[in-house]
Amino acid sequence: MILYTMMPHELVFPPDADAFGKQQMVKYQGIPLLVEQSDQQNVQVVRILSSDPQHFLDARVCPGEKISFSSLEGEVTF
Amino acid sequence: MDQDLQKTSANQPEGEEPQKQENPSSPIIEKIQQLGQTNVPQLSSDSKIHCLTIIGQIEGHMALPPQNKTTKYEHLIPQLVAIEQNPKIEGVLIILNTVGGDVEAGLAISEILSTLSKPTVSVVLGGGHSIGVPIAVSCDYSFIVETATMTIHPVRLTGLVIGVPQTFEYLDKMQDRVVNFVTKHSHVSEEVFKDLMFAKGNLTRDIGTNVIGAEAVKYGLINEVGGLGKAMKKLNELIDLRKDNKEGLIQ
Repeated sequence: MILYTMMPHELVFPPDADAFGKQQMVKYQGIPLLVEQSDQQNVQVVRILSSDPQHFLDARVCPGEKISFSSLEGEVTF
Repeated sequence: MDQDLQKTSANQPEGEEPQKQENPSSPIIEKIQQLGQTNVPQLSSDSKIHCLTIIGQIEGHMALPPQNKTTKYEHLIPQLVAIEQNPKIEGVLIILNTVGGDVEAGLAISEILSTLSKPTVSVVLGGGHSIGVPIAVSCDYSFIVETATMTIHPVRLTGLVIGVPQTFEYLDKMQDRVVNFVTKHSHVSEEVFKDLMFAKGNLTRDIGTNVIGAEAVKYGLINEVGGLGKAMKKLNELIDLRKDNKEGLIQ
Protein backbone atom coordinates (compact mmCIF):
# COMPACT_ATOMS: atom_id res chain seq x y z
CA MET A 1 0.00 0.00 0.00
CA ILE A 2 1.31 3.41 -0.89
CA LEU A 3 -0.06 6.22 1.18
CA TYR A 4 0.32 9.63 -0.42
CA THR A 5 0.29 12.03 2.48
CA MET A 6 2.21 14.89 4.00
CA MET A 7 1.33 13.63 7.48
CA PRO A 8 4.10 12.01 9.51
CA HIS A 9 3.91 8.25 9.85
CA GLU A 10 3.26 8.39 13.61
CA LEU A 11 0.24 10.62 13.07
CA VAL A 12 -1.32 8.27 10.52
CA PHE A 13 -0.51 5.09 12.44
CA PRO A 14 -0.42 5.90 16.16
CA PRO A 15 1.81 3.44 18.05
CA ASP A 16 0.56 1.14 20.81
CA ALA A 17 0.77 2.76 24.19
CA ASP A 18 2.40 -0.33 25.74
CA ALA A 19 5.18 -0.35 23.14
CA PHE A 20 6.98 2.39 25.10
CA GLY A 21 6.99 0.40 28.34
CA LYS A 22 8.79 -2.64 26.99
CA GLN A 23 12.21 -1.08 26.51
CA GLN A 24 14.30 0.39 29.27
CA MET A 25 17.78 1.72 29.87
CA VAL A 26 19.78 -0.24 32.43
CA LYS A 27 23.35 -0.62 33.60
CA TYR A 28 25.01 -4.04 33.63
CA GLN A 29 28.65 -4.49 34.73
CA GLY A 30 29.06 -0.75 34.34
CA ILE A 31 27.85 -0.78 30.74
CA PRO A 32 24.73 1.23 29.89
CA LEU A 33 22.35 -0.84 27.81
CA LEU A 34 18.97 -0.56 26.16
CA VAL A 35 17.09 -3.75 27.01
CA GLU A 36 13.73 -5.30 26.30
CA GLN A 37 11.86 -7.63 28.61
CA SER A 38 11.98 -11.11 27.00
CA ASP A 39 10.37 -13.19 29.77
CA GLN A 40 9.71 -13.07 33.52
CA GLN A 41 13.33 -13.37 34.65
CA ASN A 42 15.35 -12.17 31.70
CA VAL A 43 15.88 -9.12 29.57
CA GLN A 44 17.36 -9.08 26.08
CA VAL A 45 19.97 -6.57 24.97
CA VAL A 46 18.72 -4.28 22.18
CA ARG A 47 21.50 -1.72 22.04
CA ILE A 48 24.72 -0.87 23.81
CA LEU A 49 24.56 2.78 24.79
CA SER A 50 28.20 3.15 25.77
CA SER A 51 30.72 5.29 23.93
CA ASP A 52 33.61 2.98 24.88
CA PRO A 53 34.47 0.80 21.85
CA GLN A 54 35.75 -1.95 24.19
CA HIS A 55 32.23 -2.52 25.50
CA PHE A 56 31.13 -3.56 22.04
CA LEU A 57 33.64 -6.44 22.12
CA ASP A 58 32.25 -7.79 25.37
CA ALA A 59 30.44 -11.03 24.60
CA ARG A 60 28.27 -10.74 27.71
CA VAL A 61 26.39 -7.73 26.36
CA CYS A 62 26.16 -8.53 22.63
CA PRO A 63 22.79 -7.46 21.19
CA GLY A 64 20.38 -10.36 21.58
CA GLU A 65 22.15 -11.69 24.68
CA LYS A 66 19.84 -12.52 27.59
CA ILE A 67 20.64 -11.11 31.01
CA SER A 68 19.00 -12.14 34.25
CA PHE A 69 16.85 -9.44 35.79
CA SER A 70 18.49 -9.80 39.19
CA SER A 71 22.01 -9.09 37.95
CA LEU A 72 21.12 -5.64 36.64
CA GLU A 73 22.35 -2.64 38.52
CA GLY A 74 19.07 -0.82 38.29
CA GLU A 75 17.50 1.55 35.86
CA VAL A 76 19.54 4.42 34.56
CA THR A 77 17.95 7.80 34.63
CA PHE A 78 19.65 10.36 32.51
CA MET B 1 57.38 -26.48 48.72
CA ASP B 2 60.14 -28.22 46.86
CA GLN B 3 59.02 -31.40 48.47
CA ASP B 4 55.48 -30.76 47.35
CA LEU B 5 56.59 -30.27 43.81
CA GLN B 6 58.75 -33.36 43.85
CA LYS B 7 55.88 -35.36 45.25
CA THR B 8 53.54 -34.29 42.52
CA SER B 9 56.02 -34.89 39.78
CA ALA B 10 56.89 -38.27 41.26
CA ASN B 11 53.26 -39.32 41.49
CA GLN B 12 52.36 -38.20 38.00
CA PRO B 13 53.49 -40.03 34.92
CA GLU B 14 55.25 -37.74 32.46
CA GLY B 15 53.14 -35.66 30.10
CA GLU B 16 50.11 -35.63 32.37
CA GLU B 17 49.03 -32.54 34.24
CA PRO B 18 48.82 -32.64 38.02
CA GLN B 19 45.23 -32.87 39.11
CA LYS B 20 43.51 -30.41 41.39
CA GLN B 21 42.17 -32.94 43.85
CA GLU B 22 45.53 -34.47 44.62
CA ASN B 23 47.07 -31.45 46.25
CA PRO B 24 44.38 -29.01 47.33
CA SER B 25 46.45 -27.40 50.07
CA SER B 26 49.59 -26.67 48.06
CA PRO B 27 49.75 -22.90 47.57
CA ILE B 28 52.10 -23.07 44.59
CA ILE B 29 49.72 -25.25 42.63
CA GLU B 30 46.88 -22.88 43.47
CA LYS B 31 48.92 -19.97 42.23
CA ILE B 32 49.78 -21.76 39.00
CA GLN B 33 46.12 -22.48 38.47
CA GLN B 34 45.14 -18.89 39.14
CA LEU B 35 47.74 -17.36 36.90
CA GLY B 36 47.12 -19.92 34.21
CA GLN B 37 43.54 -18.76 33.66
CA THR B 38 43.14 -17.38 30.19
CA ASN B 39 39.43 -17.79 29.48
CA VAL B 40 38.51 -14.26 30.62
CA PRO B 41 39.23 -11.75 27.85
CA GLN B 42 41.57 -9.09 29.12
CA LEU B 43 40.08 -5.80 28.04
CA SER B 44 42.07 -2.70 28.61
CA SER B 45 40.16 -0.86 31.29
CA ASP B 46 39.77 2.38 29.37
CA SER B 47 40.01 3.14 25.69
CA LYS B 48 41.64 6.49 24.96
CA ILE B 49 39.42 7.14 21.96
CA HIS B 50 35.70 6.93 22.44
CA CYS B 51 33.17 6.57 19.67
CA LEU B 52 29.67 8.00 19.47
CA THR B 53 27.26 6.86 16.82
CA ILE B 54 24.53 9.20 15.71
CA ILE B 55 22.07 6.99 13.90
CA GLY B 56 18.45 7.07 12.86
CA GLN B 57 16.44 10.05 13.94
CA ILE B 58 17.60 12.68 16.35
CA GLU B 59 15.05 12.60 19.12
CA GLY B 60 14.20 15.79 20.98
CA HIS B 61 11.10 16.77 22.84
CA MET B 62 8.90 14.02 21.43
CA ALA B 63 9.62 10.39 22.31
CA LEU B 64 9.38 8.34 19.14
CA PRO B 65 7.87 4.84 19.23
CA PRO B 66 10.44 2.07 19.89
CA GLN B 67 10.44 0.73 16.32
CA ASN B 68 12.22 3.92 15.26
CA LYS B 69 15.94 3.92 15.62
CA THR B 70 16.79 7.12 17.43
CA THR B 71 19.67 9.02 18.92
CA LYS B 72 18.52 10.36 22.22
CA TYR B 73 19.58 13.81 23.24
CA GLU B 74 19.28 13.10 26.97
CA HIS B 75 21.57 10.14 26.49
CA LEU B 76 24.26 11.72 24.31
CA ILE B 77 24.78 14.90 26.30
CA PRO B 78 25.63 13.24 29.66
CA GLN B 79 27.99 10.94 27.76
CA LEU B 80 29.77 13.92 26.23
CA VAL B 81 29.98 15.53 29.67
CA ALA B 82 31.51 12.31 31.02
CA ILE B 83 33.99 12.23 28.12
CA GLU B 84 35.03 15.81 28.85
CA GLN B 85 35.62 14.98 32.51
CA ASN B 86 37.41 11.65 32.12
CA PRO B 87 41.16 12.37 31.86
CA LYS B 88 41.82 8.96 30.31
CA ILE B 89 39.76 9.77 27.23
CA GLU B 90 41.83 11.75 24.74
CA GLY B 91 39.62 11.98 21.69
CA VAL B 92 36.15 11.31 20.30
CA LEU B 93 35.14 9.85 16.97
CA ILE B 94 31.62 10.68 15.79
CA ILE B 95 30.00 8.35 13.29
CA LEU B 96 26.98 9.86 11.56
CA ASN B 97 24.26 8.07 9.71
CA THR B 98 21.17 10.09 10.40
CA VAL B 99 18.06 11.25 8.62
CA GLY B 100 17.85 14.36 10.75
CA GLY B 101 15.20 15.15 13.30
CA ASP B 102 14.62 17.66 16.06
CA VAL B 103 16.34 20.96 15.25
CA GLU B 104 16.86 22.07 18.84
CA ALA B 105 18.19 18.69 19.96
CA GLY B 106 20.50 18.53 16.95
CA LEU B 107 21.85 22.00 17.60
CA ALA B 108 22.33 21.18 21.27
CA ILE B 109 24.45 18.14 20.40
CA SER B 110 26.42 20.22 17.87
CA GLU B 111 27.13 22.95 20.40
CA ILE B 112 28.28 20.49 23.07
CA LEU B 113 30.52 18.78 20.51
CA SER B 114 32.04 22.02 19.26
CA THR B 115 32.78 23.22 22.80
CA LEU B 116 34.36 19.92 23.89
CA SER B 117 38.01 20.62 24.75
CA LYS B 118 39.19 17.22 23.44
CA PRO B 119 39.84 16.57 19.75
CA THR B 120 36.78 15.43 17.80
CA VAL B 121 36.59 13.95 14.30
CA SER B 122 33.37 13.08 12.48
CA VAL B 123 32.74 10.59 9.69
CA VAL B 124 29.56 10.80 7.64
CA LEU B 125 28.56 7.31 6.52
CA GLY B 126 25.47 6.70 4.46
CA GLY B 127 23.66 9.91 5.28
CA GLY B 128 24.01 13.01 7.36
CA HIS B 129 20.82 14.79 6.42
CA SER B 130 19.26 18.09 7.55
CA ILE B 131 20.19 18.56 11.23
CA GLY B 132 22.98 16.01 10.76
CA VAL B 133 24.84 18.72 8.81
CA PRO B 134 25.57 20.95 11.85
CA ILE B 135 26.57 17.89 13.88
CA ALA B 136 29.03 16.81 11.18
CA VAL B 137 30.64 20.25 10.92
CA SER B 138 30.75 20.81 14.68
CA CYS B 139 33.77 18.52 15.04
CA ASP B 140 37.38 19.71 14.73
CA TYR B 141 37.77 17.82 11.47
CA SER B 142 35.13 16.13 9.34
CA PHE B 143 35.24 13.29 6.85
CA ILE B 144 32.65 11.99 4.43
CA VAL B 145 32.84 8.65 2.66
CA GLU B 146 32.44 8.73 -1.11
CA THR B 147 28.96 7.23 -1.16
CA ALA B 148 27.52 9.24 1.72
CA THR B 149 24.98 11.99 1.10
CA MET B 150 23.91 15.08 2.97
CA THR B 151 20.61 16.79 2.35
CA ILE B 152 20.52 20.50 2.95
CA HIS B 153 17.02 21.90 3.16
CA PRO B 154 15.13 24.63 5.02
CA VAL B 155 13.62 24.10 8.45
CA ARG B 156 10.01 23.01 8.21
CA LEU B 157 7.23 21.38 10.14
CA THR B 158 6.33 18.12 8.46
CA GLY B 159 2.74 17.90 7.45
CA LEU B 160 1.58 21.02 9.17
CA VAL B 161 0.75 24.12 7.21
CA ILE B 162 2.42 27.30 8.32
CA GLY B 163 -0.60 29.51 8.69
CA VAL B 164 0.49 32.61 10.53
CA PRO B 165 3.30 35.05 9.79
CA GLN B 166 4.58 34.70 13.38
CA THR B 167 5.20 30.99 12.91
CA PHE B 168 7.06 31.75 9.72
CA GLU B 169 9.17 34.38 11.48
CA TYR B 170 9.99 31.94 14.25
CA LEU B 171 10.98 29.22 11.81
CA ASP B 172 13.07 31.69 9.87
CA LYS B 173 14.96 32.64 13.01
CA MET B 174 15.44 28.99 13.87
CA GLN B 175 16.83 28.42 10.41
CA ASP B 176 19.25 31.32 10.84
CA ARG B 177 20.63 29.56 13.90
CA VAL B 178 21.36 26.48 11.82
CA VAL B 179 22.88 28.51 8.98
CA ASN B 180 25.04 30.53 11.38
CA PHE B 181 26.31 27.43 13.13
CA VAL B 182 27.21 25.65 9.90
CA THR B 183 28.94 28.66 8.35
CA LYS B 184 30.86 29.32 11.57
CA HIS B 185 32.14 25.75 11.90
CA SER B 186 32.91 24.89 8.28
CA HIS B 187 34.41 26.52 5.21
CA VAL B 188 31.10 26.97 3.44
CA SER B 189 29.95 30.55 2.96
CA GLU B 190 26.48 31.67 3.95
CA GLU B 191 25.67 32.48 0.34
CA VAL B 192 26.59 29.06 -0.99
CA PHE B 193 24.85 27.29 1.87
CA LYS B 194 21.64 29.24 1.35
CA ASP B 195 21.81 28.62 -2.39
CA LEU B 196 22.02 24.90 -1.71
CA MET B 197 19.23 25.13 0.82
CA PHE B 198 16.77 26.86 -1.47
CA ALA B 199 17.68 25.14 -4.73
CA LYS B 200 14.66 23.95 -6.69
CA GLY B 201 14.26 20.83 -8.75
CA ASN B 202 16.74 18.63 -6.87
CA LEU B 203 14.53 16.99 -4.30
CA THR B 204 11.23 15.32 -5.13
CA ARG B 205 8.90 17.02 -2.68
CA ASP B 206 11.05 19.70 -1.18
CA ILE B 207 13.46 22.48 -1.95
CA GLY B 208 17.11 21.96 -1.17
CA THR B 209 20.10 19.98 -2.41
CA ASN B 210 21.46 16.53 -1.88
CA VAL B 211 25.27 16.66 -1.88
CA ILE B 212 27.19 13.42 -2.32
CA GLY B 213 30.66 12.61 -0.97
CA ALA B 214 33.23 14.74 -2.79
CA GLU B 215 30.61 17.43 -3.54
CA ALA B 216 30.29 18.19 0.18
CA VAL B 217 34.05 18.76 0.27
CA LYS B 218 33.87 20.93 -2.86
CA TYR B 219 31.33 23.26 -1.24
CA GLY B 220 33.53 23.50 1.86
CA LEU B 221 31.00 21.84 4.13
CA ILE B 222 33.22 18.86 4.98
CA ASN B 223 37.02 18.87 5.26
CA GLU B 224 37.94 15.70 3.41
CA VAL B 225 36.70 12.55 1.69
CA GLY B 226 37.72 9.49 3.66
CA GLY B 227 36.69 6.69 5.94
CA LEU B 228 37.69 5.12 9.22
CA GLY B 229 41.44 4.78 8.65
CA LYS B 230 41.91 8.41 7.69
CA ALA B 231 39.65 9.59 10.51
CA MET B 232 41.60 7.63 13.13
CA LYS B 233 44.90 8.91 11.77
CA LYS B 234 43.64 12.50 11.93
CA LEU B 235 42.28 12.02 15.43
CA ASN B 236 45.62 10.65 16.64
CA GLU B 237 47.39 13.59 15.00
CA LEU B 238 45.07 16.04 16.77
CA ILE B 239 45.60 14.23 20.09
CA ASP B 240 49.39 14.46 19.68
CA LEU B 241 49.11 18.13 18.75
CA ARG B 242 47.05 18.83 21.88
CA LYS B 243 49.58 16.98 24.03
CA ASP B 244 52.44 19.03 22.55
CA ASN B 245 50.56 22.26 23.21
CA LYS B 246 49.88 21.25 26.79
CA GLU B 247 53.51 20.37 27.44
CA GLY B 248 54.54 23.67 25.95
CA LEU B 249 52.25 25.51 28.33
CA ILE B 250 53.70 23.83 31.40
CA GLN B 251 57.24 24.78 30.44
